[in-house]
Amino acid sequence: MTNQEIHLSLSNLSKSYGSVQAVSNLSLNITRGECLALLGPSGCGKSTILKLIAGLELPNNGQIILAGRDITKSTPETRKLGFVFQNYALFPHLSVGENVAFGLNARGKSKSVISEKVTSALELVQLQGLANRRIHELSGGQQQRVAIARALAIEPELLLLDEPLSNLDVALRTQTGQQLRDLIKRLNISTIFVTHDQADAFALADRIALINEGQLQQTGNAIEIYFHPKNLFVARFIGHSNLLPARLIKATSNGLAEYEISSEFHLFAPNVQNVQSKPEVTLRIRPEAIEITSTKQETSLLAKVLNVRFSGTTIYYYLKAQGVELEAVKLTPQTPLEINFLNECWIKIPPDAITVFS
Amino acid sequence: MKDRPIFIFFLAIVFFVVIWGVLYPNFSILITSFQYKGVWSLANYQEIISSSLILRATWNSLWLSVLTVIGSAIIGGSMAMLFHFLEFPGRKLFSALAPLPLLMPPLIGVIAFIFLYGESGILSRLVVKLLSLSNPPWRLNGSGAILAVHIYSFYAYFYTFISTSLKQLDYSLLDAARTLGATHQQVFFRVLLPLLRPALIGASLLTFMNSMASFSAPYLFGGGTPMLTLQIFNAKVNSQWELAMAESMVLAVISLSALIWLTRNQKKTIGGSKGVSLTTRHAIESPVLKLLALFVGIITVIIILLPPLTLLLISFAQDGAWTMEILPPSYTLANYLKVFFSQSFLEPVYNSLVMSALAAGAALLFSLPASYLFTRTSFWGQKVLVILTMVPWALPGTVLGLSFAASFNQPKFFNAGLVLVGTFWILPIIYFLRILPLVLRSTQANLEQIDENLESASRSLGATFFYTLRKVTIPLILPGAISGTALAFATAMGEFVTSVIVYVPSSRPISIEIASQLRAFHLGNAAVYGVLLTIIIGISLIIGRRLATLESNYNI
Repeated sequence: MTNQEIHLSLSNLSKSYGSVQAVSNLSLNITRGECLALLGPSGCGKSTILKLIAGLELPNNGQIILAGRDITKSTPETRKLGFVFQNYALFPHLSVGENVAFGLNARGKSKSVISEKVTSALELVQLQGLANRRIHELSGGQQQRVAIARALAIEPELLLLDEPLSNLDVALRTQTGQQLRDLIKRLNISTIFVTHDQADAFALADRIALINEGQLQQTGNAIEIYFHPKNLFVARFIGHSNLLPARLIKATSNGLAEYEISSEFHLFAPNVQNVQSKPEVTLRIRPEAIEITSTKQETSLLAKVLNVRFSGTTIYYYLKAQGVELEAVKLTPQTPLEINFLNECWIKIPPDAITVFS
Repeated sequence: MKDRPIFIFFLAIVFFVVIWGVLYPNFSILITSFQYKGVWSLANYQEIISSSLILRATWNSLWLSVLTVIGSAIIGGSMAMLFHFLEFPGRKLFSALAPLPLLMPPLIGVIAFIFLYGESGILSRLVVKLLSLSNPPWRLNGSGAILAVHIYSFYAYFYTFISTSLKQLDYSLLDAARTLGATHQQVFFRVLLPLLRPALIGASLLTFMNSMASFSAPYLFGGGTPMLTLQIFNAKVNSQWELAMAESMVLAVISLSALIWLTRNQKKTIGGSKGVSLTTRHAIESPVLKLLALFVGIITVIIILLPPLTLLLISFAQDGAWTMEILPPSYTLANYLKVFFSQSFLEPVYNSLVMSALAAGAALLFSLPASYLFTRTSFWGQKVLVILTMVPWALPGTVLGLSFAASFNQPKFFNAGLVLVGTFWILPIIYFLRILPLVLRSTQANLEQIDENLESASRSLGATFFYTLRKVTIPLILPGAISGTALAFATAMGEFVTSVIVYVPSSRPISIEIASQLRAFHLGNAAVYGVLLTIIIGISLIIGRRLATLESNYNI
């Protein structure tokens, strides 16, 4: 982040459709040049937030301040925001160049300015020379780049992207995502994008805002969110976690406590209990933090291997220890010979692999 | 929203048309039907109930319409199935020719039938000669003749509706049923027919309403079979105004009930999965069956093509020279030259072109804002308003004509002193109302298909509401809207039923001229008009189709 100046500020934003509360009391700031992901399951209200920012919907409550200007009630055409729609919304009756020029034409820019800006916008997304193509002659990836060029051509204050990678096939996603991030960083343009895919959010965003049922759950960078999910929803939403109901037995030294998952299965994990709270908790165990050995070690537990799934760079183990099912993941070893598909193994779960939710 | 004033303006236009074009004329007809010699009375309805002639006419109209639906469904349906499920030589040509009768307005179909199967028709003469009879073995008269010409004119609705459904059908559903152990019959009755249900209901509706409203066939060869439309016309000609109105109410109620009943039964299409089909058309292997299919195809095409070809032939026949021969003995261009180079003969063509163009243009101008209002906004009473705009199309033409004759005949309080009867304007206005739903529906359908994100994108790029309308929305729907307008224009060109009630001799349309030429036994002249009309309709439909495909390119 270049500086900490607040570029867009949402405060206490609410929007309901009839009895459905799409966004409730949401406050969020983004700083200049920052790339923020709105991450959440489908129907969580993240797209509505984008539409509120763009002015395509008006909030019932709250305020939107862009670069010090209150735009809460202003019409979409006066906001100067670049919106890239999930389905790109390219005008099918116009050529690539005419699409990119649309916003400039609407603003009554002169011919020479328009042609210059269209050329440079198409260069930004590496589509130079395709200005005369029809939209339906382009591939999906090219269409997306036209949509981005069209949004950038008006030199927007803010770039808004709705599910930018969801319409691309898997082979294209990683590459396109990387190019998109490079572009955003090169232009140093403040960006908000919506996604339901945590991998996209982790790969593209400087900061992630997790949304569920219209409410902000947590903000932070990918590492913070992965290692320190604030609540069960976040933990569940971020990847394959082992979430186990447990019971606090007693506090021990070093800020740890002993938890009982089943009568035979006790674990030491950070003590987050205070005096009043209930002993029932949920433990989240990061799959990659479970240590697996073929021989018994101190404090390790015997586990049955139910299933092994090899996925290339990693291997997933589905284990059962003392009646409790666990998922563990390991990096694939250097040589195939080192992969042994065991029937049984010993596992060890260090306390810092565990997050406790009360 | 800031866009509100413009919507209110749109709404005002819609209200204007609905109140004076739909509500007022229909209320006039309703009220007049309850008057007898200017006094409130049920006499007209008593007359209807007690008159065996009117009751028989009503009954005839009803059962002939039902039989028309059944016959058209069987013929149109079989043709669609044959041409879509089987592959055999000539299939493409046959399936392209199958919807041809749609090009000919019912009146033209009727006169072509007279030229072909009538008492001195070409085919009748041929049969008489071949079998050495004194009279043809059939008479183009009465209910049988009406039914035949109805089926000829209307089977194409079933053919096109079912063909379209079959083209969009997910054939993997049929494959799935087969792999689950269903026999061909079970697949047909349990899977195919239910999937075709919306198409069948749509085609039945159009066919039923068209044949209830049919006027040309009973008018020209009704003979001893009274039909409701003809009774209304006769009552009007005999100046029994109030009785005509009451009869119109009966006809309107039957037609509108059918509309309501059938649309209620038309449940939303079952959303199909979009699988890749394993089977497409079955190529026929057996040479015997191949020949049989070819034979059926050829016979069908001959039956389809004979009426228009006869019309074409007669248009070149010398008037008066044709007496006993099977085919006209001498041919001439005189009939055509007469129409093209004589002011009085060209006039009806010119009249029809002007009046239809005015009506179609007005319908397009009206439909753009109205469809925007109906699809992009929602307000209380919107549905009622949409239905009301459909009424003049759904009502039988006879009723529509009478309703205008009753409401704009002399200055009244409600018509603000506007007299249309006896003026040039009555027909363009009635055509406008009649074809409006065709344009409105196609415009609305196109607007609904436009991704609203396109408008949002335009707004977020800095375009105002009007700039978006001008540069995005209208360019996108225009090809589809004009394609609907072309169809509407074609419909107006062939209009006869309503015109015959309210036309003004000085601006008589082509259809009226055809009927009067026929009555004067100027067969050649009537045929020339028929050919010209069919060509004009054909051209406008082709243009419409071109535009429709242009638009489908937009849907990426």
